[in-house]
Amino acid sequence: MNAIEVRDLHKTYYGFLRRSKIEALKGVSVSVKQGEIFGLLGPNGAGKTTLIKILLGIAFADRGKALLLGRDSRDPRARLHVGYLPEDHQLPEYLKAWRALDFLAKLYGMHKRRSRVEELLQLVGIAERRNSKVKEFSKGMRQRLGIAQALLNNPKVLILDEPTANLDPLGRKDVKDLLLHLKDQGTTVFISSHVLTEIERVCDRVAILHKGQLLTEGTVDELTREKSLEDVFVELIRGAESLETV
Amino acid sequence: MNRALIFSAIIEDSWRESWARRASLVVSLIALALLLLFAFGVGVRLDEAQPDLVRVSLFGVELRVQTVFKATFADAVELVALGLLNPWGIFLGLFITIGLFSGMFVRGRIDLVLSKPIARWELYLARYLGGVVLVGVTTMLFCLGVWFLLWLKIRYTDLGLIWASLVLVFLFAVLYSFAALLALVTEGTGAALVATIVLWGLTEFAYARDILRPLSPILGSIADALYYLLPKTNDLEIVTARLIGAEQLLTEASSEVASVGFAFGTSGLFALVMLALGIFVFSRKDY
Ligand SMILES: Nc1ncnc2c1ncn2[C@@H]1O[C@H](COP(=O)(O)OP(=O)(O)O)[C@@H](O)[C@H]1O
Ligand SMILES: [Mg+2]
Repeated sequence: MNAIEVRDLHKTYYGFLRRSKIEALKGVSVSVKQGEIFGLLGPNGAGKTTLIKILLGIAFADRGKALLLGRDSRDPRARLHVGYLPEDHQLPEYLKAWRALDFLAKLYGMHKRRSRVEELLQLVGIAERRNSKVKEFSKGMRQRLGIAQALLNNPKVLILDEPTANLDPLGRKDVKDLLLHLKDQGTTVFISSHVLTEIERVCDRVAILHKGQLLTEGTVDELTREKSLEDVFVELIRGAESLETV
Repeated sequence: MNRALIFSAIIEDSWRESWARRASLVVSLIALALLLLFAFGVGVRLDEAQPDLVRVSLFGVELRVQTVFKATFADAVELVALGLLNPWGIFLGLFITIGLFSGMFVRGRIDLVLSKPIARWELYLARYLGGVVLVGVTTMLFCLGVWFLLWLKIRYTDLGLIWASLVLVFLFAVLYSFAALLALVTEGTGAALVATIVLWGLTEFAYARDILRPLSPILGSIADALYYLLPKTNDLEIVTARLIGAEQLLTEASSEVASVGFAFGTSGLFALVMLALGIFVFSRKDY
């Protein structure tokens, strides 16, 4: 069983009264094996977040299938062993950091939460601010708290949407170390990014998404045999765009 | 087991959010001020000769009416409390809870919740119940306060006001089911609040059907249709007045209730349909 299985996924967003439409996904298929770190790369607007939201049942596909640990993503139980860091998340501002984690842990049905919450506050390095309200947190601290909530249930599959977006270089290094640590534990990680260099080193495989279609997919070694991943990325996207203008 | 944990977590979160946003604080202070006003502003002196009668004073000034029956005094106090709660308390409750409800269903915030192993209907229903619990507890505490002060002042023991407050919470829950659906569809607070007030107005309009029918058959039929479809706000109000034993203070014409069961049944059905619609829409919505 694959950790993540996406088959021929289509998604179109319609504007008010269907007067406009955006094809966010045009038949995407991806599978991620258990224990893998998988990178979904692509420029802004490529459809990365849309794909992730469909996987988690936050948005619904028009066509195709999305499975998490073998379960259809429309089934809430598919998310039991999944952690998710949304792209622009708003944690409950009015709660203290530890209570925000405690609240979200309850939604996983966790009965013993205290030690897990404490452990995660330590892990992401905001333990000394456990009693501060989320609204007093900087962007970087919120991102750390967001990562902590994604790990609450000790997930088998971790889905991170642009995890390094609001982090300084030190924070990015921490995330990279964390990913390697999770990989050692056998966690499957699905990570999306429009920035390349920082994650290419930890990914086992990457796929490049552009305007709702996969341009390529493979191991980082395969793709970077001749050129850097960045060059591959830029060339593929330029190529796709020049094809369109013809 | 998990479902109980999830529901209680979301209800508790609504509670905390409302206090943190000062909405609950303001409402509680208003309620407290009213109770204090009653506690210290309204004085009662028992009539020694006749234990059924009391002399009432307002801020130390004795009223000109020499004495009133204890029961009449209690009815008047309870009627004032009901009049404050319906419509003003319910309106305030809607104002606050619609904001709480729509605030949850925002991109970025809802993602954190939807990505947990909970079903859409659970989230919708739990958040709805959070609002009902918030308004319910506040209303009950206020009525308990009034009841307790009445007991202190004249040893009044009738529990009618407490039962009446439950009916008001039911009325709120019915209106709020409609408000929640609109808050979801319009993704905001303002339109939902206005629409709910309009609905409330329409339910009252429907009671004019007996007057309208002779004037215009079409208006009469519209009022009839509205009467059968919409919640019975007026009937429920009369039920609350009956519970405190003050129906004689209402005018003759307005004190008739078609049937208490019919009023509760159709109102409850309306709420169930609204909730089902809300869950149907929410279960198909992309965030
Ligand atoms: N809720 C939505 N309504 C309408 N259009 C949307 C919505 N979400 C995303 N889109 C559009 O779908 C496309 C893909 O967006 P997204 O999946 O967020 O891309 P990425 O995460 O790769 O930047 C974009 O053109 C975006 O404008
Ligand atoms: Mg994105």
